[in-house]
Parts: sequence; C-alpha cells; structure tokens
Amino acid sequence: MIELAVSVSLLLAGTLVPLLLWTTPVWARRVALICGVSGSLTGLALALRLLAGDEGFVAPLPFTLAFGSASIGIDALSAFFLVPLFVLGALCTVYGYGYLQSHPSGQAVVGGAFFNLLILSMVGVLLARDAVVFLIAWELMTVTSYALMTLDHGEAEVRRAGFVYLIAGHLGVVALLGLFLTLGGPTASFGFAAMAKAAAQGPAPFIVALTLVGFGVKAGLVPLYVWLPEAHAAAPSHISAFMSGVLVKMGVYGILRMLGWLPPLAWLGYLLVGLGILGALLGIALALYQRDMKRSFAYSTVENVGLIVLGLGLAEVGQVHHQPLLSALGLAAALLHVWNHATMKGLLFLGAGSILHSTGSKDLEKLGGLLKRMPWTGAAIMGGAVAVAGLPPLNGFVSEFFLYDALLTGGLSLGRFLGLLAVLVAGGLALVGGLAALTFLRVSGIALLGEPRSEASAKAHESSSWMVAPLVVLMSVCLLISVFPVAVLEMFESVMRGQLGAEALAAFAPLVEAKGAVTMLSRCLGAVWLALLVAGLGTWLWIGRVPTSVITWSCGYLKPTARMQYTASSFAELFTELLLPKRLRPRAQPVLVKWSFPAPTRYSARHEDPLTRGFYEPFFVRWADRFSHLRWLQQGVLNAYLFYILAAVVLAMAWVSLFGGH
Amino acid sequence: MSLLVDPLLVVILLLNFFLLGASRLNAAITGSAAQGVILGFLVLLVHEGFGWRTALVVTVVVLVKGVTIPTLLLRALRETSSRREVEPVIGYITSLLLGAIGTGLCIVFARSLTLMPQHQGSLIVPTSLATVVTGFLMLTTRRKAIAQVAGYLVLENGIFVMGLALFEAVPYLVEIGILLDLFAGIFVMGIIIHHINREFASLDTTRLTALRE
Repeated sequence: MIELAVSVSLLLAGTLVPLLLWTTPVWARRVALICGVSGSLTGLALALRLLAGDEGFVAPLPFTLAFGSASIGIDALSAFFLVPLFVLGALCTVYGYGYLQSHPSGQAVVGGAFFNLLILSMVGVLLARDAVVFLIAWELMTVTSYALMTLDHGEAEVRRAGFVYLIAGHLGVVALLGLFLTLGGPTASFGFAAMAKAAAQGPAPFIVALTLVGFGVKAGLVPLYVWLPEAHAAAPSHISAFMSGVLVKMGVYGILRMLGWLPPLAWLGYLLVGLGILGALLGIALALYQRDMKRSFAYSTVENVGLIVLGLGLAEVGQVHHQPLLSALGLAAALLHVWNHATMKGLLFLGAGSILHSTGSKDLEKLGGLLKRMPWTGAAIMGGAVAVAGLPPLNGFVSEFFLYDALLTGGLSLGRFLGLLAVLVAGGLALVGGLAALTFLRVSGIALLGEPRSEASAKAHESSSWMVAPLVVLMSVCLLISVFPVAVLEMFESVMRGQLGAEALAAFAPLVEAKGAVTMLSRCLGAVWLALLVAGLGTWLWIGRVPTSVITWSCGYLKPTARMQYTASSFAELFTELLLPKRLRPRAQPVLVKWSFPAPTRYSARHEDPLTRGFYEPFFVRWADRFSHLRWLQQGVLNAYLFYILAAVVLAMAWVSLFGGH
Repeated sequence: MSLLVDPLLVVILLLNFFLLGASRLNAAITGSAAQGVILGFLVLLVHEGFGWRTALVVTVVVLVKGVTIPTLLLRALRETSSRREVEPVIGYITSLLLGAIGTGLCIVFARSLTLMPQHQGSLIVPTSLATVVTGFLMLTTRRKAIAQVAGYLVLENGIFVMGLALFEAVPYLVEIGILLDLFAGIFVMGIIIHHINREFASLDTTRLTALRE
C-alpha cells in the first residue's frame, strides 16, 4: 500500500510546509497546490485499483490510543468514497489556487494548507477501522471545514453560518459517541469488526436512531439539514463544492457502513424511503425560489441526498422482501448518484464561484447575460444544470433512471399495498424531477441569459484558467459517466457484493440483468449524443454564423431595457404562490396598488428556512431562556473558571475514593 | 529507589504550604523554583543507574525550573513593579487550611488507587496530587498574573512528580511532557502578562471581567 503512504505524506507535507513558509506566501501556496494535487492523484490511483478488484487490507497503527489499539484499513466501500474525494480534492485545490489569489496572502496560505488537511482528515474518516480513530478524524474534518468555511470571517453572515455549522456538527458527534458506546461499550472493544457483531444483536431502533442523527446531520437528512444552506452559501466556492460533493457524502458513508452492520430491517427500509422522498421534495421546493444562487444549489444538495437515501431505502426493502433485483437497482442508483452528485454539484458550485469572483455577486437579481461574457463558466453551469435536473443526455439522468427502474420493479414485485406505495413514490420522484428542471432552468436562465441586471455583471469577464480548467475537467467527467454507464457500474460490483451481504451471489445475477437495461440505456444515450452532434454540425454548416446585434429577448420592443426581463422572483412566483404550502413560502410584503394611477411601491420577500424559522429557532430560544439563570456561572474572572476545574477534579477524586477503587 | 526520596517529597509538601502562605510575589517565585530544583535531584534518586538520559533530564529540569523561569519571572516582576499580592480572593490562613485539607484528601485518595507494588508505600502519588491541588488553589485564589504563573508552575511540578513514577515505564513521555507543558505555560502566560500590562496598565486579572460574553 505504498500509494497510501505516499498520498498521506504528500497531503501532510501540503499542510505543514505552507504554514511554515508563511513568510513567503507565493511559495507556500505553490507547495500547497503541488502537494495537494499530487497527493490526491496518487490516492486516486489506489482507490481505482481497489475498485477494480484488488484486495483491501486492515492494519494496526504502530501506536495505541485510548480504549486499546488503533487500526486503519481499506475496502471496496472506502475506495468507492475515496474516488470522488480525491477527484474533487485535486480539482478544488487547483480552483482554490486561482480563487484565493485575490484574497489577502495570509488567508490564501491558510486556505491552501487547511484544504490539504481537510482532504487528509476525510481519508482518515474513510480508512478508520475503530471508533477512536474514526472520531478523531471526524472531528478534525468538522473543525477544518469550519475553518475553511469561515475564511471570509469579516462578514457577519459567514460567522453566523459557521457557528450554526459547528453546533450542528457537534450535536451530531454526541449522537455518534452514543452510537459507538452502545456498540462497543459492553465488550469494551471499539474495533469495527467487533462493533459490527454487536450491531447485529444490539437494540436496533436505538442504534438506527443514533446513526440517522449522527450521520444524518452531516449528510443533510431532512429535519437535520438546516446548517447546510447557510454553510454552502457562506463558504468560499471551492469549499462549498467540496462540502456539497464530498463532505456531505461522509454522512452517507456512515449510514452505508451501518446498513452493512445491521441485519435487514423492514421498517428501516420504509423509514429511509420516506426520509429520502421527503427530503428530495422539500429540498427542491426550497431550492426553487432562493434568490442566492449558491443557496439554491445548497437546497438542491438536500434534494440529491434525499434521492441517495431513497435508493438506499429501496435496497433495504429489497433485501427484506428477498427481491434481489430491487435491492441491486436501488443500491446501484444510490451509489451512482453519489458519484454523479459529486461531479455535477461540484461543477455548479465552482461555476457559481467563478461568477461570484467575476461579478462580486451571487444574487440572481443582479446577474444576467453572463453566457456571452463568460462562455466557459456559462457552458459549465448549463451542463451542470442539465445534469443535476436529471435530464438526458447527462449523467444525472442515468442514476435517476435507475431509481425509477427500482421503484417500478418494486411496484411490480412487492405486495399489493407496498407495490402501490412504490408507484406513488415514483410519482413523487417525477414531481421532484419536474421541479428540479424548473429550478435549474430558472437559475441558469436568469443568471446566464438575457441582459445584465447590474453594472457589475455587465462588466463581467471570464475567470483565470486556474478556475476554468477544473470546470472543463468536471464537465468531461459528467460526459464520460453518461456515455459509459456500464463501465462505471462494473466498478461498483465489489461494493455491492460487500453491501448486500450473504445474498451476494443471488444479487450478482440480477446485477447482470440490470446491466442489460444499462446497455440499452447507454445505447439510447449514445444515440441522443450522436443526434445532438449531427444536428449541431448540420446547423453550423447549413446556417453558418449569422452576425446578430439585437439584444436578447428584445421581442420587437422599440426601447427594451434590462428591467423588462423576468426577475428571479417573478419567475418563481407562479410556483411559490400556487403550488407551495403556505408554511414553505417566502414571507413577502404584498404590493398594494390602491388607485388607478399607482404611486411607487415596494415589494420585499424574506427567504428564511421554514424549519429554522418554525422549529429550531423557537426551540433553542426557549431552552436558552430556561437556562438563563445559569449565566452567573459566567463570571468573566479567570480565577472562577480555574475554580470550576479544581472543583470538578476534587469531586472526581472524592467519587473515586468513596465509591471506586477496591 | 533511595531512602532520600520520601524526605525530599516531604520537603516538596512543606514548600507547598510555604507557597500558599507567601504574600510576597518574590517568595512565590523562589518557592516554586526551589521545588523545581528538588524535582531535578529526585530524578537522580528515583532512577537507578546513571546514564546520559538521566543526566540530561536532571540538567534540563534544574536549569529550566530552577534558573531560567524564575529569572524571567523576577525580571517581569521588576518591570511591572508589583511586589505584593495585595488582596487575594481568599485570605492566606484560609488558603493554608484549604491546602491542608486538600493534602489530607489526596493521601486518602491515593490509597484508594490501584498502584504498582513499588509505588504503594511511597509518597510519590500523594505528593503529586497534593502539589497539583496546591497549584490549582494558587491559580484560583490569586489575582496577580505573576502569582498565577507561579501557581501554574507548581501545578506543573505536581504533574512532574507523577511523571517520576512513570519515568521508566514510558520512554521519553516524561521529557516531552515537561518540555511541552512548560513551553505552553510560559508562552501563554508570558503573552497574557504582556498584554494585560499593556492594555490595562495593571496586572490584576479581575479587570478582565469586561471581556466576558
């Protein structure tokens, strides 16, 4: 496993050396860039080799930690998540090098160095084979991503988002601590192998609840996602891309790991399907009307995590009801969507960052007409939008196709009531797909087409090639996955065999059957691509390049202005006013026109998260009030705090001498 | 283990009381330095067989704890011109009493611990705990930053006594622990003293109350 050692040492060097070289920021940043990219690529080679069928390993670390020995290891599931980690890691490193060029040099150095540390901590999360190593890496990941997220800590909004993220992350860790103590506590062995055995016999509802809370916070499961839109909107764009593409998937990794440990449970499958479809619907409904481009993408992340969890739930249901085809399709959809979402959401966030960098705004009402001014970025966002809306011929379509296939298979093969439910969920999925198409039509149409809505976007220019190159690479990855879905699916075989447990051989046969469907699918996609290519070439040859000088959508007006276009809010209005339940709508001050000759008037709308507004804020405010009389403990005197420590030590000692010991 | 170890540990315990009762900052610094020097020689006595490792640890401990840090603190004291701990949070008699009670409790507590046979009769563990408690008491009851630094050093001395018991069991742990703790302690405290003095023109830490949330 020489690659692993090389990769880890390079990432470690990429963290430490730049911080030591801080007096020469130019060199520090170059070292971080080179170490980050080369470390990621080395690791990627290892992960791909493992997915191709190489044996993994488990090795004890040469030192001990609390609760016994520490060990790391790698298997197909780890390798599966390492691939997007290293791909996006390398690309975001390159992108960040260009993105942070305009930041103060100290921040840029810290940003480069900490990004390598973040990659390293995630490698730790994926490679950990016992609870202590896992929790250390997990915490390191949370803290490092917090530091990167709040790189622009001059803004109050960023500090607030960071605070929410930190609190959410630590509440999640409390659940994880509970989980590991439940599993490993009774036998005092915290290795993954021992805990897997304990999970098979332990109190399943309790374990599942702790898993879903602990990992669900990171993954952005439906009631726990509230940190996600804030954090993704506030972070520097390559950090948002990385968080959305990879960090959120660490939660999915945790859930998958636990699903592998637990016996198949019917109710867990239904619960996951329910949470998945609910998250997808809520996420996309909220994504539709956001004014902030990055916030809209962030809510779409909630939607996509919902789709992934839906796939996992279907796999679980299939296992319980002995429908190997259903579980193979569900798991394949979920796994493929993990990779797809990493590429397409990475593409979108990096594109949004390029726009933000060039125009200084991510507010849709201030953008417009950017496709002409930033052709590469514009094309990337268009491509990402098509992909993430699940439209053919890009890769998002492939994984959503699998989801439909799984749901319809379930509808046919499960019992009457369950079959009906599966078909109903397929209907919900169709609604999600339609809303996603509308969302991304809105975002890309308002930002890229039409005429600029502000001075800054009129003066926009294409970003540096440090930032454009990663977009091109990600776009090509999206294309590759959509053209060769069979090849990608073959890489998942070992993961699926490991995950679907004892029915490995039984699940393997339907996978081949699924491949038949995939082959057909990829042929159809190939045909669409060919048709598009021919049509494009034909149009180009036939019509040639007609010079035009009319402004977009002038529609025969004599003097059209940019203010006559749809605004982002008006585009979403029909949907928000007619379709959304009242609780989910933005809170708007209605326009009152009282008289035939109306005076100037104002319209304003606040886009707060409905769950934060309706539940979390009142909840935390009430508890903060209840605990307010404990504030006298907060004296602000150093001596008092030291006294608290002394009192705690003395109490602990007294406890041991009275009740512990012999 | 030499016969001299326990008497020296008693001296350390006595120095604890001296520190708790000392009103002059000079005395607090000198007292903690004296503890440091004794600790250096204790290493020599606890560890049988004289090698380069023992020699190095002894030299470093005596130099750092006995010479360097006290010199720095005494200089800081001269520059900041605060001679006495004017009004401690708890009076000297009370803190002496508390220290006595704490020491007693520590001896009781140490008896309830499961120790290695060679440490069972010795005073190492009780002394260590008592010194830690003394350091904590000084930290909590003194207002002047320099007196708090002295308290921190006493706390470190207590941890070091515990390290004596582990000197042979865990290679290099003791050395690394000492150096890191001392570095962090002096560094942090040095910065705090410097900043408090500059910002508030006084070393009274209670004036920092305005900084609370």
